Amino acid sequence: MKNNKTTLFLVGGAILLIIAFLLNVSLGSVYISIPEIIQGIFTGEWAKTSHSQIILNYRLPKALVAILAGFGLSLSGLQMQTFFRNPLAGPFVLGISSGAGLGVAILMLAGTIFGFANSSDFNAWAIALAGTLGASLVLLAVIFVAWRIKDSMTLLIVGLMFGSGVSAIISVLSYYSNAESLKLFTVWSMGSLGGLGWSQVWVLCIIILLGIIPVIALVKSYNAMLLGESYAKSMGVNPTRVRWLMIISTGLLAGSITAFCGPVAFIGIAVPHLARMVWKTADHRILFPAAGIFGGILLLLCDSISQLPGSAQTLPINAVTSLIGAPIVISLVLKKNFSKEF
Amino acid sequence: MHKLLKPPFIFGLIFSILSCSQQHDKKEFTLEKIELKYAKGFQLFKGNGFWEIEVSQPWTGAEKSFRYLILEKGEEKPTGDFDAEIQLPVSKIVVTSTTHIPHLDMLNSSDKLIGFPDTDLISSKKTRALVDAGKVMDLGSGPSANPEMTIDTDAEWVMISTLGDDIRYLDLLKNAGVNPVINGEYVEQHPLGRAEWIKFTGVLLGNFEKASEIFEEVENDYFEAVNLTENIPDDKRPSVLSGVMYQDIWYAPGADSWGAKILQNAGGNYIFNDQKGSGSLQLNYEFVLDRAIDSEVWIGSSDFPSIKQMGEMEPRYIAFKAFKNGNIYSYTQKKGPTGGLEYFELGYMRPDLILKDLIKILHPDLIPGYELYFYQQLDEK
Repeated sequence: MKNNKTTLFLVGGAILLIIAFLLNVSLGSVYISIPEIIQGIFTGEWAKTSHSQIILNYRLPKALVAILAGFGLSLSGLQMQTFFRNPLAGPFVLGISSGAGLGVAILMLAGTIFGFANSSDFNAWAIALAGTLGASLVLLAVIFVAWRIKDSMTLLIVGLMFGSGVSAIISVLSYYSNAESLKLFTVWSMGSLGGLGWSQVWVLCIIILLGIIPVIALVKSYNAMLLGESYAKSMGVNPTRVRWLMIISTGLLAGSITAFCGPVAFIGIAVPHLARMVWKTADHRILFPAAGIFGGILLLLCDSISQLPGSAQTLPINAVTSLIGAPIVISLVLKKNFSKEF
Repeated sequence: MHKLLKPPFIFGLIFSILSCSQQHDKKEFTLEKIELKYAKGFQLFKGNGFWEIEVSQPWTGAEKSFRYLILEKGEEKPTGDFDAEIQLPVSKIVVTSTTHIPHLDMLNSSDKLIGFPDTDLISSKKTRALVDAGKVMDLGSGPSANPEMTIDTDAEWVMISTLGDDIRYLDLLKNAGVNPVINGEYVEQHPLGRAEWIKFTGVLLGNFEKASEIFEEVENDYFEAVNLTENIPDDKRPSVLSGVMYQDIWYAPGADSWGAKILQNAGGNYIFNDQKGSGSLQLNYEFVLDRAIDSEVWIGSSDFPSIKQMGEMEPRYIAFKAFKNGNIYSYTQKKGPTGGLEYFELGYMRPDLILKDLIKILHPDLIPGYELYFYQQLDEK
C-alpha cells in the first residue's frame, strides 16, 4: 500500500516537474505563445528570428540548468544533513561554495588589482574553471582534515571555518578591486541560471550525473547513518567510505553548480526538509528522488518568478530563492518536532 | 547674584548682539546669487570679498545640503555656520576622482595637486608628468582615499565624490583641518550640467571667471553640434543599442539619463527610450534581444578589446545584427600610460567631444573633417 502511494507521489512529482518546465519555457519578458513555441521547436518556423534565439539559446538552456541545479543542490544538501545529522547543513557548509567563490574572486578581482587580466578576459569557461579549481582546493583541504579527524562534528566546524577564512580573503580582494570587476563579481555572487550556453549545459549535466552515482551507491548506508556512526558500523556500514563518497559527491554537485551558476542560495538547505515534510519519511530510497524532483520544481518556479514575466526587468535568482527559502527554514526551526529525524 | 548675571541684563546683551549681527548682514554681507544654466546640484553666491557655495545634491536623493565659505585674501569673515571655510589663495589641494583632474588642467592649477588616490588612473599628460615627478602623493587604492595620508598632506581642501566611500571620513577630515568639499557632479542629468561643475572648482581656486569662460566654450561647442542633428526626422535616425550584459542581466542607461540624452542629441534613436530611469536599467536578455536584434549601431559596450573577444566572453551577443556587421563602438580609444581611460576622466567636462563622436558615428557626413576622440570601432582581431 505504502509503496503504491510512494510511487504515485513520485510519478506525480515528475509530472509536476514537466509542467513547471513547460511553464518556465513559456514565460518570460517577451511574450511568445505556446503554439508558436511548439511549432518552432518541431518545424523551425518562428514568427520572428529573435523568438527562435530566445527560446533555443536562452530559455531552454536556462530551464535545463534550473532542473540540474535544483537536483544537484538538493541531493548534496540532503546528503550533508544526514551525514552530519544536522538539519541546517547544506552545500555551503563544507566551504565548497566559498571555495568556488574564492576561485572566481581571484580570477575577476585579483586579476584587475595586479594587472594580469582585464575584465573582458572572463568568458564563462574561465569562470567555471576558476570556480571548480577553488572548490576543489577547499575540498582537498577538507578531505585532508577528514582523513586526520574521524568525527563528523569536527569536520562540520572545520568546513565552516574554511568558509569564513575564504570570505575574509574575498573581502580584501573586493576592497581593492575596480568598480567594473567588483560589479561583475557581485552579480556572479547573486547567482544566475541564464548565463550558460549549450556546451556548458552539457558539461554541467555530465558532472551532475557523475555526482549522482555515489548517491545511488550509498542510499542504504544513509538510512543507517541517521542513527549515528556507531550504530551504522554495527549494521555493517563503513563510515569512512561513506564520508569519502559523500565528500566526492557533494563536491561534484555543489562545486560544479556554484562554478557555473554562482552560489544559489537556500535550495540545498530547504528542499530536503520539504521532501521530508511532504513524504513523511526518513527513507533515503524515497527521499533522494523526491528531493531531487522537488529541487528542480522549486528552482524552475523561482526562475519563472525572477524573470518577472511581461516586464523588461528581472530579479537575481538568489533574491527569489531566499524569499521563499528563508520562511521555510524559519518555520522549521520554530517547529518543535523539527529535529526528530536527526 | 552678581549684577551682570541678572536676567534683564543678559536679555539685553543677547538682543544687542542679535540686532548687531542682523544689521551686519544687511550692510556688508549681502549675497548675490550667480545663476547656473544646467547644474542643479549646487548654487553659487557672491558676497563682498567672499563666496558661498551650497551643494544641495551631494548624492542622489540627499536631504542634507552642505555650505562652504570661500574667503578672499584679507577679507572679513561673514557670520554663519559653514561645513568648510576656505581661505584664498590655496596652494595645496587633494582631489579624489579622475573627473576632477580636467578642472585643474583647464584652470592651470594642476601644480596645486598634492595627493590623489590611485594615481595610476590619471591619464592627463599634464598631471601624469607631475605624478611621475613625485609631486602627487598616492593616497592608496581602496574605496576611499587613505584618511591618514589625506590628513597628512595638510591640503587646504579635499574634493571628494560621493560615488566612492570618502564620505565616511567627512567629519574626520573636517576636524583635522583639511576642508572636505563634496563634488556631486555625477548626480546631474544634463550632459552640460556635469561640465558646469567646473565653476564649483573655479570658485574653490579663486578663479571663477576663467571657469565661466571655459564652460561657455564647451557649451557653445555642444550646441553647434546639436544644431547639426536637430532637424533629422525620425526615419533617418539610426537605431542605437547600448549597454552590456553581466550573467543574463543587461545593464543600459535609462531613458532620462545623461547617456540617453546625448544619444538623442547626436541624432540617434535610442532603443530603450521608453524605459524610464535616470540611472542604469537592469533588463532581461530576451527583452533586449527581441527589441534590439536589428539595431544598426551598438554604442558603449564596456571595454572589450575586440569583437572576437566580446563574442567569446558572451556568445549571446552574436545574435545581434550590430555585432554581425561589426558596428560596435566603445570609448576606449585613449588609454593613459598607466591604464586609465581618458573617457572616464575628460568625458564629464567635454560632453561636446562625446556628442561629436556620436554624431560622427551615426551621421558621418554631417561632420566630415572630424576625427573620433574618445570612441573607436571595435575590430575583429
